[in-house]
Amino acid sequence: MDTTLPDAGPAQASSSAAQGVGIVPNEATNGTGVAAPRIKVDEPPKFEVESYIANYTGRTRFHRLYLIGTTSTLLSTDVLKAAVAEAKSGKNVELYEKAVRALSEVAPTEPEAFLDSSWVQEVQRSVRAQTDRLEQELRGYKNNLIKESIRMGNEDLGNHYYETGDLVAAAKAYSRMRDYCTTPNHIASMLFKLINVSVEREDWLNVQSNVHRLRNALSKPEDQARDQPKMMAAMGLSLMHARSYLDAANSFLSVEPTLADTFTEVITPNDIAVYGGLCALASMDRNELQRRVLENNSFRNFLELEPHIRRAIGFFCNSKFRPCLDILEAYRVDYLLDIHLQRHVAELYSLIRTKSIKQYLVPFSRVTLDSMATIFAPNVVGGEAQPTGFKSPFVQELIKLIKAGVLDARIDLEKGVLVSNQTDLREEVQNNTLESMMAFNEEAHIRLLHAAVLQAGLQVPAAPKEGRRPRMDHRDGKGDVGNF
Amino acid sequence: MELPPLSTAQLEQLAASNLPPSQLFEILSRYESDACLMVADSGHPDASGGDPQLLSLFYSSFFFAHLLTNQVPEARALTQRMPETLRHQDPSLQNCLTLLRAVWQTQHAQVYETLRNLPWPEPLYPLVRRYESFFQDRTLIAVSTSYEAIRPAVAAAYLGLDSQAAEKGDQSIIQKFTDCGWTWSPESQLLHPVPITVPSTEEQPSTGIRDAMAMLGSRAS
Amino acid sequence: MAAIPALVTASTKLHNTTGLTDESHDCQIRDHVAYCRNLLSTKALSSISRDESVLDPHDRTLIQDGILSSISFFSVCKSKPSRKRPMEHCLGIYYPRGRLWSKAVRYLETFNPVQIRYAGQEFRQLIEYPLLATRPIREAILRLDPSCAVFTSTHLLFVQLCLRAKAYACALPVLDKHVCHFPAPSSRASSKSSLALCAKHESGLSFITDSSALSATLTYKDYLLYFLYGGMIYMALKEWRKAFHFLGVVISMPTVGSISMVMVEAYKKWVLVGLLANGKLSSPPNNTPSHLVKLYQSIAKPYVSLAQAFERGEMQTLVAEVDAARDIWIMDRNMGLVSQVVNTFSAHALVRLRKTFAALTVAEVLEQVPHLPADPIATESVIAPLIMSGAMNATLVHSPSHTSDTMLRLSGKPFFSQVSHESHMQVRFRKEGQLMTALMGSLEETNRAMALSDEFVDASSKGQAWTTASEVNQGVGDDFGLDMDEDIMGG
Repeated sequence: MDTTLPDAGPAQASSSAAQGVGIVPNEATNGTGVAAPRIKVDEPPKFEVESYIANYTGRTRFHRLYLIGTTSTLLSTDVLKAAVAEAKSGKNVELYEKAVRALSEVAPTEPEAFLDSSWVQEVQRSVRAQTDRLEQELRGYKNNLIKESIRMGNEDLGNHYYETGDLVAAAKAYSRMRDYCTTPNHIASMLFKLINVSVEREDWLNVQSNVHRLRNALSKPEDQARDQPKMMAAMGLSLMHARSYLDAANSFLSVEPTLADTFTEVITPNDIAVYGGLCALASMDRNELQRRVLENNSFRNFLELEPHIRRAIGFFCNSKFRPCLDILEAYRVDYLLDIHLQRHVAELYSLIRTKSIKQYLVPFSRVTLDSMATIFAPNVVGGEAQPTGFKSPFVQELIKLIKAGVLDARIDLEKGVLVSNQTDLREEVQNNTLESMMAFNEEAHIRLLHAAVLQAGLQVPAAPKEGRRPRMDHRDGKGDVGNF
Repeated sequence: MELPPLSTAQLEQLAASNLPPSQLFEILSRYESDACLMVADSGHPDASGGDPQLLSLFYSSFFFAHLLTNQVPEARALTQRMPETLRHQDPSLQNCLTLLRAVWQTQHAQVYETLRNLPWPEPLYPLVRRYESFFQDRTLIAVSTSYEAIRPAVAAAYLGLDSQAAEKGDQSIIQKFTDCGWTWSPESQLLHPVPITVPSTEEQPSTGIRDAMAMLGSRAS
Repeated sequence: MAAIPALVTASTKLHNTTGLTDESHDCQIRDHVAYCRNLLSTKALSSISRDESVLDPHDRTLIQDGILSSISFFSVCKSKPSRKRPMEHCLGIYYPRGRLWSKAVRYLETFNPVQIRYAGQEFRQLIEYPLLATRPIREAILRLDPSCAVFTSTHLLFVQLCLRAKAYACALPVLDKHVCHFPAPSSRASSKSSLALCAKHESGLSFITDSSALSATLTYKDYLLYFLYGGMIYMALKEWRKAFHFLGVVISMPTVGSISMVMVEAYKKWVLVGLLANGKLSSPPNNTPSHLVKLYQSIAKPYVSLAQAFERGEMQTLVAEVDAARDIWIMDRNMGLVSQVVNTFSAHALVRLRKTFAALTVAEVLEQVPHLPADPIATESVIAPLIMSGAMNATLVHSPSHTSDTMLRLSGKPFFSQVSHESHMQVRFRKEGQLMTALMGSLEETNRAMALSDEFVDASSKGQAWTTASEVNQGVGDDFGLDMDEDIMGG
């Protein structure tokens, strides 16, 4: 990240993610993901990987480690070693091989960089044996027609597939539990299993539909209260990945603090604070941020875990844009190392930046470009001969924003100011009136002609197709009239 | 209202008259059919029939009437309506085409050059002069509203004045502009135009022929 | 030879109309028409037409006297020119040389607009004879119905002639009035109003009827072509907005299933004119059915992609589109329009600068708008005419030193020019207001016609018979090759 100016504008910001090191085609995370350009980060994060990863359970640990290891050039060896160890503690051969491959690319001499083929064979053998055994058992249950046994048999099989990394088979096995569920709790636990699988497969639509099913399945208020935090968290995550940042923010904001560490296989309360805070900052206006985020009692619990997010939002609400952006910049590396946030950092940051610029302009009818640049492009001000010249990145950024219709202002390069568009009211009213008179006259004319044509029966007739029957309704009834 | 027959004398009188352009245009457009008949009377339409001199004068005058009423595209249509042979052979009509091109492309220098230095037939002179000042006035107004500060050489070029002299700070040229209320700032060597406003003229309906003819008549007598 | 004095006597009878009621005047004129028609259909006519000199002493009576006996005049001259002149000689600007020419012209400028209502057939024969040129026909159309709101076959003939004669401006007085009606089936007109034909009528609709024969039988093609040709005339005069409207009329007219080729042609031109007028691919008039829009787009694909390239603001793509479909533009006779579109590309980009900048130097303009001449002085000479013509609301400011750049201020005109702007706006307001009033009048007429629902149904079924009968009228299509002059002088 040291290759780009941290505050060079959204255009740079969006590219900076990919700019650090060349773009490496990404192998799909779990076989289902789309190939996105791999992001590389050279700076150290603020967190410590070990304590960070300790917050999570389940396979997200491996995926998170792997992402950090392949993203951060600084930490790659250590973290990938941890990833190898993490994989080896489980039964997923594919992930193990993937981690070893990645490690051998960055540190070919490390002992962990060599594939432990005896372990691989051993695991594969035992997995096969267990698969056979579980399927056998399930068949037995089915013969006995005991619902509960069949449900549990499917669940065991699903868990087994999940552990070994066959997510499709796992999802199928879990789905088969549906018919054998006898209580709402069964259904809920099944749906959560499906949600977890979908999260790992990054099938966000599926996550959403399962959350909806879950919501319908839970009839008792106490059940709802119990599962609400996890549901909203999963929902928020899937909405964020769908780039509906406002909806995502709303979901995250409604997660109850009871979430605590009940969902660590997917998300921690710290994540809720960061994701929710950033999505809100990118999509809500100042009043909403104040009212719905800062004054939100239940969300405050989350924000306390990540106080810098709280501060950033506070600065934004007080129109202190520079400190707000500075905080975000300071944490950019952390967020680029987050498995869910990584691909949204650029977009969220540019949205926040654009919003800040817009918000900054609200009270002014004209602002000098220089004063804007000190806030929104401080690094540029120091370095360039003409910090607010036509060719400076900051001015180019403004031009882009104006052209995109984001900013309602115009640049005066003569005086070096940004002028908000106050139109000459009289002239504008005149022009608009004239324009609407003309448009009205034109449309009235066309409509009158329409009526006249219909009345006179002079419509353009149907094509003289082979023996088309004359239509009998009087409006357009006519025979074959030679067409053009 | 009957018009006197189309004749060189009548055209000369029209050209020299001070009729408002719209009336001049109206009268001449009524003569167009007569002119056509003359061409047609010669037998085949391609050979220039009738009196080439009269026809040339008519079409040239009519052309200038278009320009004076600001109908440039229609002026162009006129050049395509006139008899082909006449257009190709008659020097006056050839000049009109050159002028049209310059006006069409808003080449100010070219317009003045054409108006001033090409050999126009004697009877057409009044119209040529009239258009020159018309064009100059229009340009002056346009420049006054389009520039907030302008170098004298450029302003002079727009108005067909000696731009080299203007660049050297020729007082008489500067004077011309300051007479319009523009200010001259010697230190920056720039003229600061003051927008000249003209009440916009509503299109004249094509009446008033009677008045025009009466006016012509009184001049003739 | 006895015919002439008889006519003169007959017509003088009509001179004294003061004190007559509309009804009796009505009867009188009808009798006269019948009399003249009868008289002239007999051999008397042939004797007249053979002897041209006969007309001369008498036409003073017939023509120049205050009140004219229109029918007599038309009847006399109607058979004249046909023998002499092949059609192409007579069309447009090739005026006839016959002696009747000037008389006919004078007549058209002076005829009695009331009496002519009774002699539609003769009237139309006279003016639709290709001998007459554009201008007299225009006067005749406007005299017959000053509102010009009722479409007649003469309208189409007139714009065709104007287009062919390249007498574009001549068509404006008619084109600028909005056609809103078609001649009503006569039964409705007569049942609705008991007004005599010669009475004072609010609108041309009540005397230009089916049976008045003031218009030939109309088909859908007549009005489509009228608006297409009208649009082309506006195009030749570079009145893009009006051209756009006329072409918009053509493409939005009601259809039963299929569309006419005229509409497709209009759509192609409409796309290009839309670019010239608005700088973008516009959406068709509101009441164009969406399936028609899709149909147009698929038929006129190259035009749509050209417009999209224009909208995206990429000169290269635009030029590539133009080159790729060059044959199509030429075949459709739209090459001139296409090259004008290319030429206005930079101008539109310059006008759009206003949205982003309040002021910038000409050199910076070059950065923003590519494809301008590379040097700032040449660029200034591209910008200045745009400002001076009013297409761009801006001012230029020269800087003291010759080397540094000219500033382009887009912050609106200084206060002084507001005054002329205001008066200019007033004129335009008044114009649109007048147009609106005229349209409101037409709306009232339409309402009146529609309100009596029985009659509307009646009329509609009449309409059927009418269109079926119009199958014969295919001749108009032959003129479709008409073309306005569209090559341009470059610039």
